[in-house]
Amino acid sequence: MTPDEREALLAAYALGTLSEPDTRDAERLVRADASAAAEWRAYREIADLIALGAPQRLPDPSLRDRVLSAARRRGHPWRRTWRERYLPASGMAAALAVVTLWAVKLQSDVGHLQRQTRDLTAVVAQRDPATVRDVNSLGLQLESVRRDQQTLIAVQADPKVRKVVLEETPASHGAAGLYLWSEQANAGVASLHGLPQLPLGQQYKVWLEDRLSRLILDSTFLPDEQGNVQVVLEANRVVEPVRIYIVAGTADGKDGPVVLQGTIWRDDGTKVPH
Amino acid sequence: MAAIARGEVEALERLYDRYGALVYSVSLRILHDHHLAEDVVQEVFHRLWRQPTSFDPARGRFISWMMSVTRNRALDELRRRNRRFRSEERDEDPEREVPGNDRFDNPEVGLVLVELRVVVRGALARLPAAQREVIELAYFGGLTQQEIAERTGDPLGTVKTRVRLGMRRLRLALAGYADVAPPAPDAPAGGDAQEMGRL
Repeated sequence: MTPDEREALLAAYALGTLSEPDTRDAERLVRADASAAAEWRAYREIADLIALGAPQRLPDPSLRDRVLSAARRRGHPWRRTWRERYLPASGMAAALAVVTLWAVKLQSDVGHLQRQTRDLTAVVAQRDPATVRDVNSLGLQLESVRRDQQTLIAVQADPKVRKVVLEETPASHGAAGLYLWSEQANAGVASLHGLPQLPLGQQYKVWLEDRLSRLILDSTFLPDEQGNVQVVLEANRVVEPVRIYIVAGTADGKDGPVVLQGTIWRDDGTKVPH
Repeated sequence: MAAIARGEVEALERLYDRYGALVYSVSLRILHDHHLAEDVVQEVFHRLWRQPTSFDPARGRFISWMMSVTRNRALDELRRRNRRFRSEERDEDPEREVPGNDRFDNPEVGLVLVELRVVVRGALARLPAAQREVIELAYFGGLTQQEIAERTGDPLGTVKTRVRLGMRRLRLALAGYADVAPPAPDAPAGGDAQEMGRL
């Protein structure tokens, strides 16, 4: 690599404009070479200043009040009570327990659907069209529940499963969640609680994005009346999710606010401590 | 930041007065939508309030960190939205500037910031148009060099050279303000001097 090529790589890396393969090359260079790391940091400082070139615009004056009143309303993390302070840990334990209970429930659902399918199959011999439709529907349900169950077992069995407590956003309104991601199973499970109720006809969405913020996996779901739900996300190819977003849908099918979000891996590929 | 870490809302208030308009301006420049830009402002200050220790002074200046957080969050939103609403109309002209004295032009709250902003805008304005274009598409548009080449119709190699030369020029112009060393001297004859003129 010539000095110009090296400078081009590091400057573009600092500017965040490299393709994924080039980004990996730059990451390797920065990790392996202290002078390259210094060069990259210098260019990153410059890149961050480019923001100041944005034309000056004023937000609505009410935004200031919204930001500050949200801070007052939510309190400060260091001023929270002992219960709030230890909530993430207990929340994690509770969410894991819910996921385990869900696995048990799925097992029960499989048994129940298997029995129903057996009973109806006996009736199908009489060639009643309605019964045939019921059997087909039950078969699909059974297949779906079995798939969820298998994915859940695979995720839980992974000793290296990543557990991410999802972060609140201004739109959380008390919602909380845990996300388990298994590289080995190439699948994850989100256990979400207290999601705000959406108007009829609207759904929540879950998105997984990679380090270039590209959507790699998504799904829609509806929580129960208490706002609780478990969602399985399984990829049919190897993916490297970096961020997860839980997003409220809107009446016109567009994306509403992000309700919960989490970082599974840092952009530089290192683990987020938890 | 120490006061924010102690939970003083007044400190967040002062920080908003100093940087709120700047965070909004950058978000709007990236997103072209004032509702989304306001969401980003709320998220950035929410994060500051909830995780004040996520800024580490040992790793750089606060303004750099703040701009980096703002840009990343706004680009996340932009990519998320572009994936779904490519044809959606944008409702803001990001180049239409508000004249005069908003909060971050107020000498009482941000003289250094105002000076820095003038210097950065001057440095960007002095770049050859082609270099400025690729840098702005990369920074504010979140595009990769390949995507910039596709958009502008220029060869990828040309885009890469423009990025390098543009960033080098900015580094030369801003080295004193960004507290970084200027780049190594230009290559000898046939190097950057000629390239800079051509590109």
